[in-house]
Amino acid sequence: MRRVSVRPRSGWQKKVESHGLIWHTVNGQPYWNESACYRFSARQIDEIEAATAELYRISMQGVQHVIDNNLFDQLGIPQFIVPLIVRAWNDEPPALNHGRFDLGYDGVTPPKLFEYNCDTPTCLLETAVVQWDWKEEVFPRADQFNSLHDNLLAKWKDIAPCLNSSVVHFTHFDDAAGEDTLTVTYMRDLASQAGLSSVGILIGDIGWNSTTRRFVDLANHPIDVLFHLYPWEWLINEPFALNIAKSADAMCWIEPAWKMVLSNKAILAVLWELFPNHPNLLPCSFETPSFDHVRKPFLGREGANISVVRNRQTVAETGGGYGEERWVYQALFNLPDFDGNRAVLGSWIVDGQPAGMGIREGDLITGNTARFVPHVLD
Amino acid sequence: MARQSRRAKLFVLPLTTAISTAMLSCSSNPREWRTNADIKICVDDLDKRVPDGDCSNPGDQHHRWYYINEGGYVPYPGYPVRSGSYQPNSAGGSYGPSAGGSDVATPESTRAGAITRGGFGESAEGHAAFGGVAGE
Repeated sequence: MRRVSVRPRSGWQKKVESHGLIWHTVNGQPYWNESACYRFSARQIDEIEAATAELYRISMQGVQHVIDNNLFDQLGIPQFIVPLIVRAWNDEPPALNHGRFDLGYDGVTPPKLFEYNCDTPTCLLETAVVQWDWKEEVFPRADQFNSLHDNLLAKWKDIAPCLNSSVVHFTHFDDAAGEDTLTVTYMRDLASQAGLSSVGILIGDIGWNSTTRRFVDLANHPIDVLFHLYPWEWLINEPFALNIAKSADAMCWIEPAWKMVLSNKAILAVLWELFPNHPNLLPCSFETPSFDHVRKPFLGREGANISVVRNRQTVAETGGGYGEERWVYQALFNLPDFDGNRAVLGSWIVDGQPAGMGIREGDLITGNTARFVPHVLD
Repeated sequence: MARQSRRAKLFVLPLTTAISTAMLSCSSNPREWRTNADIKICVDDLDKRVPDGDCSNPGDQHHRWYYINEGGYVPYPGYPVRSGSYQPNSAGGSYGPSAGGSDVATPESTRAGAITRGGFGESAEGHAAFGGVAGE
């Protein structure tokens, strides 16, 4: 695992924009950073791929453990939604079942799980499309750990016949930067290629028909299938929350409700209890440990409300609006330092199949302005 | 091995291209407004709005009507639609052509008969920052 300098392509901004990545720059600094790339050996990619498959395997066991032992209170998940979670887990409704494991990796020792983002994972377009296009132009003979686009398309085709409608609604928040909008739009393109019709609707525009007990779009048509880039933990804490169960028989949510078990960082402590000393896990607990650690809110996003504690001193922390629920304490992993750049791997999985990787660089804490840097295989 | 060894990929992303282009080209001007009546507009193969006259040719396979209910977003010509439907809500009789541009305030919660809106989305308001809002 090496970081090497690369000459950015002439007009790279236009090139990434042509693939939909319009949020490539923030405050004058590139979010998409192609002035460098990471190079990996085939052995290292094999190790990352194997770790991703293994983490998926134990994550599924973690969900089963939470359900079998009714640990929902420990995770801060309200009881009214538990039947829906259990039903979705047991019935296995059609889903992409995709997600991104954020990993610490130094190229030598086994990758370590920081968290599993599987409810509303982003960095999707830049991983699946933009970095592949960069590789084809800059390193056309090189390879890349990247089959994300192909895997997602195949999964849409796989589930299309199983859906209760050929029309899928896609919802998101109307974010100013366009990241949520275009991530969902990319999914719409994939669904369309799979033969489905797509209808976009902003999350705030979804309606509830109290007569038919159905969620409806702006044309008042019932929503049969809803892809949502909007977290389950938000959905179940908003005024329409109770209507989710009322319409459950007639509606398919992509992704399903059981995903909220894994997107909750309390699962990290549950997994450590289930699989102590697992080579791909970091020690994690619900209580403040004596060792150097990172404190994370159960439901934090984009690196918000994170504290890094070394020698009982907080050496870095971020603000945000999370943490009212509870915290987990995960052992500090010393990310390799490449001239001040600390890289976190985002290793994707689609229904159990490792599907590619994106890399983001930041400081001690990888927040939502961390730079995306492409990679190739030697 | 899941990685794709040097295999060419074909990215077919017409909607992503259309919407990103539209978002880039209208950063300082509103690209849509909310209608205060049920309307229909004409769209092309890429779901972009075109003049209504383009939908008046019965044999045209590349243009069709798009129906937007009261409160829905109406794009300016050349911009993609993102709400509404290709099917009218009720026989299509009440949908008139768009009159164009008057702004309508965004309702926090609207009620039309048995339908209530605005019951999702409030959590995101408190987390708006750079980049996406609801991703992880």
